[in-house]
Amino acid sequence: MTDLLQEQIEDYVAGVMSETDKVSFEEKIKSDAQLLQQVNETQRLREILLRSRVRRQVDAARAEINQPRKGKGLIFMLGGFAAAASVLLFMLSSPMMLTSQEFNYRGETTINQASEARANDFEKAKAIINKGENPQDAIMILEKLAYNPEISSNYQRNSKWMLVIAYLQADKADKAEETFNKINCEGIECPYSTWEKTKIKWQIFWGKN
Amino acid sequence: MNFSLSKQWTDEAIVEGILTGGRREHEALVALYKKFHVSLERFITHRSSDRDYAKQPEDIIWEAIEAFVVNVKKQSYSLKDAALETYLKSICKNLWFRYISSEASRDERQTKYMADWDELDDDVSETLIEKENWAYYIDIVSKAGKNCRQILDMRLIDGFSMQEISQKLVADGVFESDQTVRNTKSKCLKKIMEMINVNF
Repeated sequence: MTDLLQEQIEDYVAGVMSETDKVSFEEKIKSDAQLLQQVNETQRLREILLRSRVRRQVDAARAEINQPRKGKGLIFMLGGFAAAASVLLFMLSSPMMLTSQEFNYRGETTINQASEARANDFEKAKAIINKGENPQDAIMILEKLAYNPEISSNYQRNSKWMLVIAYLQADKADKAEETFNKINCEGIECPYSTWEKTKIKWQIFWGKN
Repeated sequence: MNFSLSKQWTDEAIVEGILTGGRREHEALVALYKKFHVSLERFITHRSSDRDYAKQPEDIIWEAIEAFVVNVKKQSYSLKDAALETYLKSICKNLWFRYISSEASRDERQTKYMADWDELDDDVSETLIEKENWAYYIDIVSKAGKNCRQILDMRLIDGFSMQEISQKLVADGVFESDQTVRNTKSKCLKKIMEMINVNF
């Protein structure tokens, strides 16, 4: 087969032959069985090439559809972090409540008039703080108790703890920090949880900034 | 026109994208899948039994898309013939029935599915899906090498002349000269033809 004939077959099969050439070429095919066979084989090859190309395109589309959505995954992950951080910040910023852990504020073996008065003051300050109103009144009471050498260290420490909360309620973060640093409470003997201490530190930080 | 979302792709835009080829064709195929896969999956699942099939509706959908694209490119499909979704469903129906025919027992087919299938319109007949096993021949072409395939694709599918093909491939640095392109094409064509004709 000549190169020219091969070129004509390919042009015909590819559909790029001019109409005039096409008519005369089809006449030629009719009278040449061998040429007809070559055209049919080339048409078959074209069909295979076409299907092969389509298969590659479809496979590529399917691969894209099936691939993990990295961008979306990242958004979900960042969204998750943001949501967790929001919850944490909300919890850290919520009003500080007094620890539920009970302690024997009396701490004194003998109950006298003075100790009874202190106990009453302590309870009064506690009620004010829990109510969240007039923290200044609680501060006045607790400043006397927190540094009173006549009462136990445990009693003093709890008074200081409550004083820190009262300062925070009164927007006195510096005083709250100063008092909090004096509590000096670590280890299993400390009645305050890590969460409560973290929350206090966070609120002091935001109160100062 | 913005083609970024599958819902914005009209049937006409999808067909046009497939005929355009390249990146646009890829986007059209992704859009086609996204637009119809839910309804096609429901269509197939609704016509399945509880048994475990090795082939999933997802596989059938992609096979249907492939058959559809071939028909578009061969210009044996036009939107005037049938709405795209209807056409795809017809292909899915044929593919799925052919698949379960080979899987399920004759009795099961007769009693459980045939009545249902018979109710479906048969406008797009079994002839949509070629019976030849194209996979084997596609495999032959795939193994022919990238350059060989590229030359034959450009010549027989895209309809470029050998001069145009040479100019492009030499300019792209794939081949050194016009003659090496022609020689490669001749060898490649001869080899592939032999392999195909032996088995056809």
